[in-house]
Parts: sequence; structure tokens; C-alpha cells
Amino acid sequence: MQDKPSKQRPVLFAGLVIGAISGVPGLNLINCCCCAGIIFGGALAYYLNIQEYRGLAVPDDPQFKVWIGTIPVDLRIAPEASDALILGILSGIVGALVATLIKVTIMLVLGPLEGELVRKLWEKLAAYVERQGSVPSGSFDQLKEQLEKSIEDSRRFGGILRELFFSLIIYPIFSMLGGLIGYGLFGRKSMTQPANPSH
Amino acid sequence: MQESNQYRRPYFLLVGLVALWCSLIVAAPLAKIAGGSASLLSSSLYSFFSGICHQLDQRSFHIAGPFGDMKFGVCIRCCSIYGSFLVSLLFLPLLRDFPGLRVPNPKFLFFALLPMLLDVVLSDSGIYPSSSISRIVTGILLGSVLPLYVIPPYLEAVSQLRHRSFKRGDLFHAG
Repeated sequence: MQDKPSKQRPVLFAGLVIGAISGVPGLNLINCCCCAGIIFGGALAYYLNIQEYRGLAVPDDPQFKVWIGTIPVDLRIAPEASDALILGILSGIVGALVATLIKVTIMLVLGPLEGELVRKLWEKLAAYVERQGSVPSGSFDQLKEQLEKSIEDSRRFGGILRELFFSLIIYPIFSMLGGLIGYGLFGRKSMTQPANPSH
Repeated sequence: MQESNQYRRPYFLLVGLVALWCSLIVAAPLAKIAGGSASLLSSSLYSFFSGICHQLDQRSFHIAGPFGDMKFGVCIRCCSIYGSFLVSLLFLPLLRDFPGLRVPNPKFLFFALLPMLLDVVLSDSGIYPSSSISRIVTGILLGSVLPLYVIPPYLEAVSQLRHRSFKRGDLFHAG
């Protein structure tokens, strides 16, 4: 009997996506919505893991054959909920490391320019949102204060370490949730072939 | 009976962790009010939650303190999601037996998420101003539905990790 496909590729790719969403200034605002980017990354890891089953040998015996979406899978090595849990946790850890790496790289490459760039981007965004009138004007000063604090924190070694520590707690929790939700969404197993296997 | 017992411990572990998470959100302002060395804990908690929430004053619940109102660790919408997640988690065993628990159809999750997405998009585009009530209602809707999608795979995963001989593919989704 063959082994389950390696989790390495889905974990690394999903971790890169989580890291990019969380580490790139501006894009990381997605995580303000209950870590939506990290949850998405966890679900993506499980989805990519299912794709790894494409092309693997499947027994002819219908007793050992299940369908996950349109992919026929050997029941004995089919992806399980525990795989989703592990994939989510691992991609969260990789995502936390990648996000920190991206932040440090941006800081080293751009230096003080990065702060200026983020500030200018922020001012443009704030002016746009203020024109829309959807956020009370007092909120901007508070957000600007938080932004200045995070820019200042990102320049200190202690600030980077603290952020990495918090990320290593938060990211695996939320990406694990994403992996489990992904299992609920994409892990539907069926004993019979779907009606239209070409899609 | 034995089957439902094996799910009890991981279930209570999850309830405990979610309750801890929610209590940390409330602990942030309480520690600030307490002052002294607790202030350090408070600033650490605010810093911890700042990575997952904007923490805007105007969009947060507050507790009255001697030096003014102190906001919770996360905003109203996040509080509603986490709070209703915990409540839904607590009520889940009263509604369904764990061994028979199935992941509902994905479309229900979409319908639970849609009002919140609309609230955010319409509000940020300036078409319709979101209010505290709309944030609470849409947050509760999503938070109360989420456990239905998280608990069955979570219990199955923990069970599989504990007993590697667990029958594969035990969780077949409900239509």
C-alpha cells in the first residue's frame, strides 16, 4: 500500500501565502477581520493537500475507493481530519516565520523609507475613507498612533521578537481553525463517483 | 456511551481554551483598571490582540474605570464572534450527540458570513453606515454557526490522533 502524499509542499505554500498576507504592509489589514488571511491560509493548506492525491494509484475494489470532490482516493490513505489539524498548525508556524522574515527584510532593505512609504499609503487610505464618511474622524488619529507605534516597534529587536512570539501563538490557532473549516468544506467524501467528473 | 465519553475530554479542553481566550479579552481593561504591575499585563494583552483586531475606541465595548473608560482587547464585532462562538460551543452538546455530529452543508456558512461581509463592504464604501447593533448581530450570526463547522472535524481529529486505529473516513458529511 502506498503512503499518504507529503505535507511539505502544501504547508510551505500555504505558509508563504499566510506570511505574505500578514507581512506585506497594507495587505496585512485583511487580518484585522478576525485573522481572515490566516484562516484562509489554513483552509488553503488542506485544499492543496487534497490536490496532492491527484494521479495517485487508486484500487479498483470499490470498498477501498472514495471520492473527494472529483478526485478518486484510496480510502486507506484518504486525508483525515487529523491531517487538516496538523496542516493548519504547521502552515501557521511557517506563516508566522515568513511574516516576520518579510517584515525584517522590508525594514532592512527600505529602512526609514519603509516607515515613510507606509505613512504615505496610510494617509491616502485615510483620506479616501474619510471622504466616504464611513469611519468617525477621531478613529484616524487613534489608528495613526497605533501605526506609528507598530513602525517604531518593528525597528527594535525586542519588538520583532515579541511580535514573533505572539505570531507563533496566534497564527497556528487560526490556521488550525482554517484547516478544520477547510476539511468541512472540501473534505466531503463520497463512495460513488460524482455526476460530472470532468469539473 | 463509551463513544461519547471519548469526545468529552477534547470538547471540554476546547471549551476551556475558548473561555480563556474570551476572558483575556475582558482581562485587558480590568488589568489596566487594577493598575500597578497588572498594567504591564494589560499592555501585553492589548499588544497581543492588536495583531488580530484594529481595537478602535469608537468600535469597542468599554468598562468604566477610575481613569476613564477602558476598552476591551478587541472590537465589538470580534467580541460578538468570540462570545457567540463560546455560547454556541456550550449549547452544542444539548442539541446533538457528539458521535452523530456532522458538518452541515457549506452554504449555511456562506449565508452566515454574507451579512457580515455586506456590513463591512457597504460601510467601508460609504453606502450604508454600520452601527454597533449591526456589528453585534452579524458577528453573533457568524460566531454561532462556526462551531458547527469546527467541532466535528476537531473531535474527529483529536480522536484520530489519540487512537491511530480509528476507522478512516468516519466523518461523512451531511447533505
